[in-house]
Amino acid sequence: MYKYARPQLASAWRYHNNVVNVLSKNMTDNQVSPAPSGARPFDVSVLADDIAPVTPMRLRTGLMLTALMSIIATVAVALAMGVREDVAALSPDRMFMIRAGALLMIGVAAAVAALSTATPRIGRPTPKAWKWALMLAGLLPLGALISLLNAPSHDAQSLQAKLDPQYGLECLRISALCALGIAAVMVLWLRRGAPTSPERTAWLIGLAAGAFGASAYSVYCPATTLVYIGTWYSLAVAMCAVAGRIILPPLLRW
Amino acid sequence: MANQDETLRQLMLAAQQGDRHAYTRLLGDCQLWLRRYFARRIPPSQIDDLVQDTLISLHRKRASFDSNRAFLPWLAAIARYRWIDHLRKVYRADETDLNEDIHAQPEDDAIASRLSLDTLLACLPEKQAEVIRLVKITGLSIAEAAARSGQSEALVKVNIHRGIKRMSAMIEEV
Repeated sequence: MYKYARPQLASAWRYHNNVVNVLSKNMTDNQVSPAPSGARPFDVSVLADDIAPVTPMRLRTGLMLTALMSIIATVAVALAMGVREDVAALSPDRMFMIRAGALLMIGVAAAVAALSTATPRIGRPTPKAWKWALMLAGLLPLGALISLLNAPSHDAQSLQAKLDPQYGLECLRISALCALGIAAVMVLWLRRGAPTSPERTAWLIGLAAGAFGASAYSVYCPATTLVYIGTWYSLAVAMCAVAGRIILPPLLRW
Repeated sequence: MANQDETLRQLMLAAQQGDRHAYTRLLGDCQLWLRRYFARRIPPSQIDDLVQDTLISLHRKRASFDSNRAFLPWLAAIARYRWIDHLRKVYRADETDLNEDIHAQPEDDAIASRLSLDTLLACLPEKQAEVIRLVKITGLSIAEAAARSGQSEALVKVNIHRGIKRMSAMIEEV
């Protein structure tokens, strides 16, 4: 037909040919080949004897459990630490709304993507909304960075005043603690399912749990500056996502 | 093909409700399907063990089958997971060499109905889908496809390359 100049392209072309040929053949060929002669098929009656009714997994069940655990975490934070005055007065500050909205958006999108891996099937892509949510929420740390770079003074004292590390570390700690409970619920539910990419699911669980955990803490957190929110909340979510990726895959393998 | 999937789906629904007879029949059909699925992926000597492992996984994870969806794409996802796990174990244990004699058979018939060329091509930009149809399905040469589609020969090659790459990614994605 024609030749590619470079061998790797030729190899890619052969691969493409194979993909199309296999697909074409599969579409037209409906033969059933018997088991090879001499093979000893597995005795399926062993499994059939063990049959018992099961409740099919539903995404909405997983989502409801995750939402319930997030609400419990939020109530626990409110009871143990208190609630922001503006939230208690039902007239929340704009920055609180933006912060909570961004976190919930990431949490919901990542939770849907993570929990939907419980029921796998070839040809179905994992929901990608979490990537858009993450990109949108990425404006907060970006805004924090720009705000820091444009600050009139960059000395350590003013930086410390803006970042408020004492509250910031508390934000990390409490968010992670809440995320732990939320991730535990998600993992327990997913262990009944069959996630075929435990590493990707682990990332998504960490991301969702981190976002929900941080949003639980945010009902108490008095900070409203962009620098603080963009730094500490982003760190909390990122830290939980990385921890999820490192810790969770062995729990999700089957 | 669609009928086969629907039959298996109905059997699985019954199995999820505890119907032993339906489950036995389902497992038998799945055993045959898996044997064909793995035949082109691993050496023949390892097929029995992998089919058995996959059937056990099917049994343990049967709650993860969504009754509103087709059965074979679910089974294929379970089988692929077990296959990758098997390869990982084999390479780690360094027990076997790659077998060049793994043979292909015309199989995975019903899964293909879910991943049909038409479905995949519909997901591509029209220019990519058009040249793939002309060259890879109709059998025209690059020059003929270029003349027919109004694209340059170089663009035809690029569009085929990109289109098939995208289709491969769609197939691989779970």
